[in-house]
Amino acid sequence: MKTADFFSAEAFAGHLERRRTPSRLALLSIWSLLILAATFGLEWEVNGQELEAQRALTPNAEAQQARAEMDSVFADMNPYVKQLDALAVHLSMPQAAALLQALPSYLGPDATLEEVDWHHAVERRGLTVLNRELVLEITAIVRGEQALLSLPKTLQEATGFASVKITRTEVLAELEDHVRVQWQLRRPLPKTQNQGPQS
Amino acid sequence: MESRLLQLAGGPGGWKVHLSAAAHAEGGLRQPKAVESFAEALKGKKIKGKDAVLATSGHSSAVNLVPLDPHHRSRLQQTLQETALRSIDDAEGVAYRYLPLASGSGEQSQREEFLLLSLGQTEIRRCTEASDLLGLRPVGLENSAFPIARALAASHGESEDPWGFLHIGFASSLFGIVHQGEIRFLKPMQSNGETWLNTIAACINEEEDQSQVGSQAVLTMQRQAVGHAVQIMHALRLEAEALAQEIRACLRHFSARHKGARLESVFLTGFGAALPEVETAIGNALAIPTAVAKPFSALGMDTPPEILAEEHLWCAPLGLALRGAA
Repeated sequence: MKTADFFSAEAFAGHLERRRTPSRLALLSIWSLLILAATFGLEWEVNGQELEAQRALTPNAEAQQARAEMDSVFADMNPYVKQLDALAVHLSMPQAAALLQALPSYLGPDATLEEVDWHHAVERRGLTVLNRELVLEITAIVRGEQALLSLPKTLQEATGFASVKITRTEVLAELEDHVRVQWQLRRPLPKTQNQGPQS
Repeated sequence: MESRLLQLAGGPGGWKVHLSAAAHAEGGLRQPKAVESFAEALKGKKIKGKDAVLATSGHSSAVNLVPLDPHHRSRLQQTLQETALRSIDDAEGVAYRYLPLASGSGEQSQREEFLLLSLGQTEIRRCTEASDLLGLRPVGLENSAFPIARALAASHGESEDPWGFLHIGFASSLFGIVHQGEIRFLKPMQSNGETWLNTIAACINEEEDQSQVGSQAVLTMQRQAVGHAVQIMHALRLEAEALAQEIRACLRHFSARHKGARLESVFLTGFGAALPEVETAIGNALAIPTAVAKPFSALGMDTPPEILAEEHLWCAPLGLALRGAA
């Protein structure tokens, strides 16, 4: 509302300015406090990280003792290294017993296991063994097209072999919608000490 | 004559009365006397800040509506100065301010109108000195009509239609019209609170107790008026009709300049507003909804009961306190 003031306009303008000052000071104080709090927070975080870094650099007595004990264990094991390496190779070989036992269940209700055959396939150049594979041949009578198509992948996934292919199929005259199938699954074997050019 | 001091706390979201004091003092030394009373009343209380806005009315101030033809526009300052000097007799000189009123429509649209407010330099000096005595720094001095209108506008809210206020002081009275948040018309009225008080006192056959002043006199009068409503209404009929005629003339003038605008309501303030049956008498004579102003209640302020009992007397202090915030 317009008014007719007998004092100068500057007098009331000055009053309005003074009225704003406390709120401005309050805002400034709050802002300063926030900045101060943020600075303290940052300092606290930096101190924490610095302490952590110092701890990481400081030799840890427990870790040193554990390392010494491990060195001692390795020193004790060194005389038996040849036997232990062979054992390690042997343990890394595929375990056939469990696989043979589980094969009928892998084939499922639409296939009947007939024959299983294992052998090693060795690739040589002269006396040097280039590659060795474990070959598993499974012969089974399969009913239905669905099972025939799905079983190769099922067998590969269940046995963990690297590849699978159908090597033989035979239609059975006496059984309608049944075929005899042979799958060949292959898996590379770990290299032994006398295998390959590096040996 | 009563002087009042009011300080609000809070803000537009929620005002509350922080301090209030009223003092009765007459004559040329009324300001220093009022300061003494304020100092006594405010003992143990703390005034926040130092700035104070002031308002005054009465014989040392004058309000004039000055019409001016376009071809006399160059003589505006001279006309206003002459009018101001004629309005107030003050040895120290006269200060005046003016506001152009919104130009109207129709035949009178070519004629400009100025609201001229005049104030004696003695009154300005006394008000300033009184503030200094209270340790306050005066930052504004208005004619009371403006803070009254401001307080009522704040409590009235937004309105498309114009509304009026009739301030019936003990020694002088004013009628104003507010439209779109601005004072569009302001004129002193002939009758005053003293006239109304005497009429009512004569009606109820009570000798006016001269020891009682201001709001005390009104309270006494209200008590004595119980059971005399019909007689008082009858006695006030002539007074009210004379006042209504004066106001109707103002309304015709306003209506002619504002496309036939009509008043929505009239608020009564000042000493005479709460005299027995005055509200009804004026309302009946004007045939416009009329009510005693209650701006503190309308604004929902946290207000002490002594102010709530006579809100119509605290309109000017409230308007001053709301200046800059309203």
